[in-house]
Amino acid sequence: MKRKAAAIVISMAMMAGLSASVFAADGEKHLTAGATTGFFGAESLDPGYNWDSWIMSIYGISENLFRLNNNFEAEPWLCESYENTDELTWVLQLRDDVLFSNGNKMTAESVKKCFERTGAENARMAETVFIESMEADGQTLTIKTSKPEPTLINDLCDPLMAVYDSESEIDPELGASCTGPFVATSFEAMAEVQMKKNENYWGGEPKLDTVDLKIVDDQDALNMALQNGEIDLIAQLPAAGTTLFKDDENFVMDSVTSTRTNFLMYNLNTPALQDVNVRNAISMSIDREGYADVVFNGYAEASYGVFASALPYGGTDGFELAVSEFDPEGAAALLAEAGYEDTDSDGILDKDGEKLSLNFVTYSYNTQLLQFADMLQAQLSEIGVDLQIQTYDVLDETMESGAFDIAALSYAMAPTGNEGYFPNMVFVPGASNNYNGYDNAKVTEDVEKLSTTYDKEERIALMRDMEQEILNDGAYAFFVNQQLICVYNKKVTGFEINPTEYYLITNTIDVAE
Amino acid sequence: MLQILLKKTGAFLVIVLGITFLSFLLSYLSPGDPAAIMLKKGGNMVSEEVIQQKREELGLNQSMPIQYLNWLQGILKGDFGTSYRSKKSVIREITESLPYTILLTITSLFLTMLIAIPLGLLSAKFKDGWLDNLLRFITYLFSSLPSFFIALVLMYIFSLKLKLFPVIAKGSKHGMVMPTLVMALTLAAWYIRQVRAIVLSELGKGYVEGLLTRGVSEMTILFRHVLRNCIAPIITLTGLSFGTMLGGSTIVESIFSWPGVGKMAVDAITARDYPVIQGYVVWMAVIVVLINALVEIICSLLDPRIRKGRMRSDEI
Repeated sequence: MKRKAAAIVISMAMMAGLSASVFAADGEKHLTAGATTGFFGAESLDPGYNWDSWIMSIYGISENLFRLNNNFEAEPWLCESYENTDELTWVLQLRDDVLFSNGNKMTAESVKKCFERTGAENARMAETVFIESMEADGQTLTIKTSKPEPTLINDLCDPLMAVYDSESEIDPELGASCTGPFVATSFEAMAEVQMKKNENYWGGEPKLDTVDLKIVDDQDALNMALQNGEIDLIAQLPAAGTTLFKDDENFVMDSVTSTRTNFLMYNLNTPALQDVNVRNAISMSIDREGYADVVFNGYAEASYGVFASALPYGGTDGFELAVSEFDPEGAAALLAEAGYEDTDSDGILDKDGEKLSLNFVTYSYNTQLLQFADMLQAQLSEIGVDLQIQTYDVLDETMESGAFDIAALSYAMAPTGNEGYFPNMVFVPGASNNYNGYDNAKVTEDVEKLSTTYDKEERIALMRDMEQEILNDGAYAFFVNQQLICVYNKKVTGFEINPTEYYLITNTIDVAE
Repeated sequence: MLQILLKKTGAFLVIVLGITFLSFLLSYLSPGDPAAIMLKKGGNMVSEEVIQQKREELGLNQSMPIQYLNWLQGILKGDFGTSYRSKKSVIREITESLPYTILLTITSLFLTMLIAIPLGLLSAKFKDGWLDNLLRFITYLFSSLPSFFIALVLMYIFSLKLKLFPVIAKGSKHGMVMPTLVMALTLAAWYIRQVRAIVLSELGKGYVEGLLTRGVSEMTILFRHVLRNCIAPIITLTGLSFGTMLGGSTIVESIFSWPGVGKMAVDAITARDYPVIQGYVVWMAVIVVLINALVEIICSLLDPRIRKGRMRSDEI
């Protein structure tokens, strides 16, 4: 009997101990936001590590010298003014009233030191900005670039260029002291961050006392958590979830077109796809409007151009379009013009004994692109094109090896508003993401000119010239520009959605009693 | 005794070495470069040079056997490596997640037993009656439904409609009720059928008829005699489940945001975080071997026939 009692007591003590280590004490009233891993998932709170500065910017912990507005234009943030004194020299006048969350003053010297540390810690910085040297004098920071960098102030908006106090020790859990409206009080990598207001914030007292940001992997569970009142806001709601909240007066849904675009990349090494008529026939078979309406519930913009219309050089106005509408009949005519016919009546077109059967690859986890793949497969089969769909958790190796005919991809095309970002990575021969062997001398020339052109109007003209070439060649089909969607409880006020995916929690967000 | 211990330890080491080598090989052969996955976040692009630098930093530019040997060398020094993602030691990653999994395992197994043993006994007792048929239908239903579906249905009813329990389990005192319930219902469906089968085989034995003819009540026979004789196979079953459950339940943990080792393992596999995957594999190997040994000991303590049987076979 005694042994039984002892066993029960030990078991209960074990359970109590475990419970104590698992359950956190209830905090004070605050805003709780939720998102899946992609939006809130930081691995550390060290702005120099991997992509964590991006997430820290979303959290409202870190800030940059410049900030992107809704038109993707860089505006001074921790910087007061700037001057481009010559092709390689930029003189930045920093704000004099900014303190780091640990109380230390932000000076040109501290910014210089922090950029030097980030550069040493993160190889990505050498590709983001081309800083040759920096000189600090009071609040004046002079940056000399190693080559002309007309987009420096845009590049300084990349959250990797976050400003933090690198001279003070960086806490292994709570990270670096930054200048944002909130500071972390507890942090669990890829799970949760709890924050309180930064008492030293320079931009006006944050209206919230505490903020809790949680990662919930399952989107259905996340939606129910908002409906249930456990969280107040969902960041980056997938379009499929919008029907749940659309007509519910308890929730507010904000959306804005981002630069994230879904597009097809045609492999120009595939014999059938070397014919522009075949490529255009496939592009014509994409029901862009239907896709945007059905799969994205209208929270996407059908695209016939290259860049999103939100960008000054984007949209379709003023461009000559080879494909301007969903036209299955036109697609069939183009294939006939290309010499394809169904000689053996098996429903698949052929030419010179080769069937028009194409290998289509996409990400296994992107449900919207998977739905798109099914839609396109059905549409193309009606005009005699056989599409074999293959999905991959990791697409990189397949793309690099060239083992695809058509790839459906999703990229942020101008995350910092730097026009040359996407062309440099995709359109230029030998570029890291030029997987399809695209090579157009005029495009390459425009990209090169862009890297030394400072005048905004000239840059836009170069971009438009390049886009027209891309559209003429039809080596890609950009079919939808996604929207960033956030939904929140109506008691949340002062929330502003920004298309860059860089900013979320700000000092203006409030929760009504 | 020493010989048996040495033999068991040797077998254990061979198992761990074999399993870790295989998992290392499979991780290595699976598509996806940890450095590229880490750097190409959110559809953003980086150059091959940057990816190459990251590979070198993580030691991924070495051949697979060298990487494995380096890892083994670290293990011998008690160093299980550092997570590629969080930069935390693997031991810390596992020990931070373990309390959640242990707690969920204990509560859900306890609830499973609470449901399965009486219902399994009753199902066997009233074989082919309406209760048995009803229980068989329910158990088939719960065995067939995927746990994520059960989780979402229960979440809809208990969290959204009745507002009894939270959707996000962690951080709330009664948050673990729902994950426990889902785990227990799924497991109990299988256990009820197992208990029923064990009890039915026991009920067919001669001593039951003997007790009946001596006028012992059916319920006394069922709960005092039959149940006692069924304990050993039930403990064996429970032990096996306990070992498996300590590996975490990836689906339930993910849906309810319960940061146990199962979720940790899936996240590590997605990111090709080799040190964490290897740490998890070692943990699973150790726990399964230990639990099996423990089950053997408990069964032999509870059932003298097993102990005596083993002694006799040892003597032979």
